[in-house]
Amino acid sequence: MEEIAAIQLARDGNTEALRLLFDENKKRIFSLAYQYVRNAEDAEDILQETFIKAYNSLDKFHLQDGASFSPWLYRIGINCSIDHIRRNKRRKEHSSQIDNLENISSHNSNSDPEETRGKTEMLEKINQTINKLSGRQRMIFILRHYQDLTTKEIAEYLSCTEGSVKRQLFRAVQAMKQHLKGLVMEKGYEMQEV
Amino acid sequence: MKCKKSKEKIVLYLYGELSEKEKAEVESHIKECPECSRDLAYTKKIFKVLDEAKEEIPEADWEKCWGEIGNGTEEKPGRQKRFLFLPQWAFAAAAVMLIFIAGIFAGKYWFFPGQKSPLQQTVSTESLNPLLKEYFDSLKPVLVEYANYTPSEKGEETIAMDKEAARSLLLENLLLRRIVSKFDPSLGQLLEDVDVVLKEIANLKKEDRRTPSLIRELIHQREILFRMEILEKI
Repeated sequence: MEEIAAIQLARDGNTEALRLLFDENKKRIFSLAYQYVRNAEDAEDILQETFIKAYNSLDKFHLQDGASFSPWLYRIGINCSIDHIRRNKRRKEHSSQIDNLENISSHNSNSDPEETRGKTEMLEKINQTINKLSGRQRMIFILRHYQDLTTKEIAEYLSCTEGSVKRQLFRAVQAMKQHLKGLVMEKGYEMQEV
Repeated sequence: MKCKKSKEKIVLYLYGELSEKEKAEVESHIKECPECSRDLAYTKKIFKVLDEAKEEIPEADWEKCWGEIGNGTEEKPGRQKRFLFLPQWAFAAAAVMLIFIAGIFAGKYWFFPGQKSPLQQTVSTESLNPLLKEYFDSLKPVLVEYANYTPSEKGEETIAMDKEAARSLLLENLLLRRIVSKFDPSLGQLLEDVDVVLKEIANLKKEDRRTPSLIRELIHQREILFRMEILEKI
């Protein structure tokens, strides 16, 4: 079924068409949300919220402008993620750390305990640093570093200038460099001249 | 190139975001500047650490998510059905408005027989001016209030009043839009944008604190008040 037809049918309340749009886009939205909030439960909430919002706004999506559904939905996903963090800031910081530690332990049950501990520690530090970034700065960093979007694409999604994205990205990377310094040195990542 | 600028560019260099010319400038600066060279090496290490600690994305419970989406969407079925949520009196008001508009055109033809009949004469913005003015006069206070909205200023009672006003304005908007869209696309577009804003207001929920800010953004982004002002001056 064509995407346009699916959108038109979904607008009229056709559940199968909406399910099709959900299946085609669920993984991308979930991965963005997961990388942003750092835990699966909240990422599922964001995914649901994104689709409910998109469904309720389908009549605002302009098919005739040649617009594509996925970027439109992705933009809603970005906004829902930022909103979610704003709403659940305190709760999230605590639970995401626990969640991540559990994830690491389960993913690495067969590996060297020392290595697992080292990775857990590193991930915890990375999460702490990411949590310290402002919502927008964090989103820019996630979109560039984990979602592989260019600064130009990010600027379009966030409706701001490319220069502003570059500045925020630089600050986010600087924060990473500063907060991870001790740990990087401790783990023997010695400096190299280029 | 100055070191401060170079450090900013190093991040973009590693993300492959620089043009060939910028890339050459950064590389040439790094060769001459030990500090920036160290910065590049350290940033590379940080990127490596971030990549090594990259988590696998777990599989979500898709069926549970889909179920929740179903629960969240069944109460708000599409555009047409949302329109049916309007109270019965609203349809009566719409009928009165329609008769009123028809009366204006009929009256013009009756009292000024020299003019072409409404069937011969295309409806113009001019003939609608008094109606539009009246509509804009009722619409403007609602839009201005949301255009100047600051968070946490709206009580439950105010929201209820706004919703009622928006519903009544929506009906008038619908009728006007049907008439003007055929001969004045820009006015039709403005009324369509107003329609979006009014629908948001009419569907406001007291616990939804973000929507009023979104409505404010919508009014500003689409320059609704400015466009209304221009139309009023013409």
